[in-house]
Amino acid sequence: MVERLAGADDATLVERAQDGDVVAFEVLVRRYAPTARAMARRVLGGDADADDVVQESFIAAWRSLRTLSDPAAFKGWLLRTASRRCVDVLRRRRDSVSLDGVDVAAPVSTSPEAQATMSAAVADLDAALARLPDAVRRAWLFREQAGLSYDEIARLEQVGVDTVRGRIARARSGLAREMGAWR
Amino acid sequence: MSEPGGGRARPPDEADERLPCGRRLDEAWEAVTAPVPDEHARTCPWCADLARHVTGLNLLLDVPEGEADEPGLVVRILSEVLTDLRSGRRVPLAEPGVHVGEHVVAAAVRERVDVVPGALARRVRVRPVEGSPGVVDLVVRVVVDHGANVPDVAERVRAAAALGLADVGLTPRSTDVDVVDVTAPPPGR
Repeated sequence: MVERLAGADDATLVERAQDGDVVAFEVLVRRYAPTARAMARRVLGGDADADDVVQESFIAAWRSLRTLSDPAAFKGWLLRTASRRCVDVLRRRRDSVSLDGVDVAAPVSTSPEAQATMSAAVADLDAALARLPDAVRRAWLFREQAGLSYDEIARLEQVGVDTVRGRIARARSGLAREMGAWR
Repeated sequence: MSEPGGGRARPPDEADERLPCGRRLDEAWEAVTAPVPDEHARTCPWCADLARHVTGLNLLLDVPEGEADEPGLVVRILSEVLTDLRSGRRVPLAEPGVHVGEHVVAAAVRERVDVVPGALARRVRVRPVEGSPGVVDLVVRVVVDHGANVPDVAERVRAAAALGLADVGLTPRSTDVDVVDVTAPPPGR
């Protein structure tokens, strides 16, 4: 059964999990924890906080699973929750009302062993992201990895939509240049 | 307004940076990732190049890190989930004072339904019938494999669901089978 569920679509897994099917929920955890964790680590740096964010996001998802009216939208819903929690962590760290201008350490990449196994391209992307200012990097990750809208990011960061637009443009420009786009 | 393409020597105003086709980078990025790319995005070679770049980046974003599937993390999440489950809703059995967790009933029904060829259970709703302990109204939502005979599968699901209820000491007053989707068989792993 586990094998069969491992190939099931999100809607099936979510509906089963809504009835308390832990195995179905486990498949969802295994399917999306790596993405949520990668995003949280890129936003927060460090491992422990990122893992806490992922854990809290999944448990919050589990507890409000019945309120998810479109079961196929699970991934976006989860990553939106994780994004909010990342911002909460940053606020706690800095004890600041607005994150504007707040700088956290660039993401600690990974241990040397993990680095060795990570594909060179991912390492390049992480390096390019690490060179972006924190707010710029966050905006891009929330947009591209979590799929948030400009408005959602603006509310989350407590800045104007134009600021978000500018940050995302800056990130795209930086990444396009560093990751060898059209030039 | 900067010249198309900007330049390497002079850091361009990033918000106004342009592709060689003249489109602002940011605008082009939105266009190539839109559900329905516009005419320019579909035909411009520079935008096509950018689209490949963006697709590549997004693939990289989802590459799991070596240790991303950290078992400890999954275990911590699931153990909280299990604790939650134990405090869930209860269904009364015919024996006075005996109850069974709703998630246990759903699991018993799913277990029987999942072995029906061509069917995979989704939601299982159990509603105790007021004044009749041990009797429930049941709704089973299923996905049916592509090519299966839907009425036939639905009938087998209904019978299987009754067996699942019997496994935990319940009988159905009504059983609705709701075929919510038809899919291709899941890919083998």
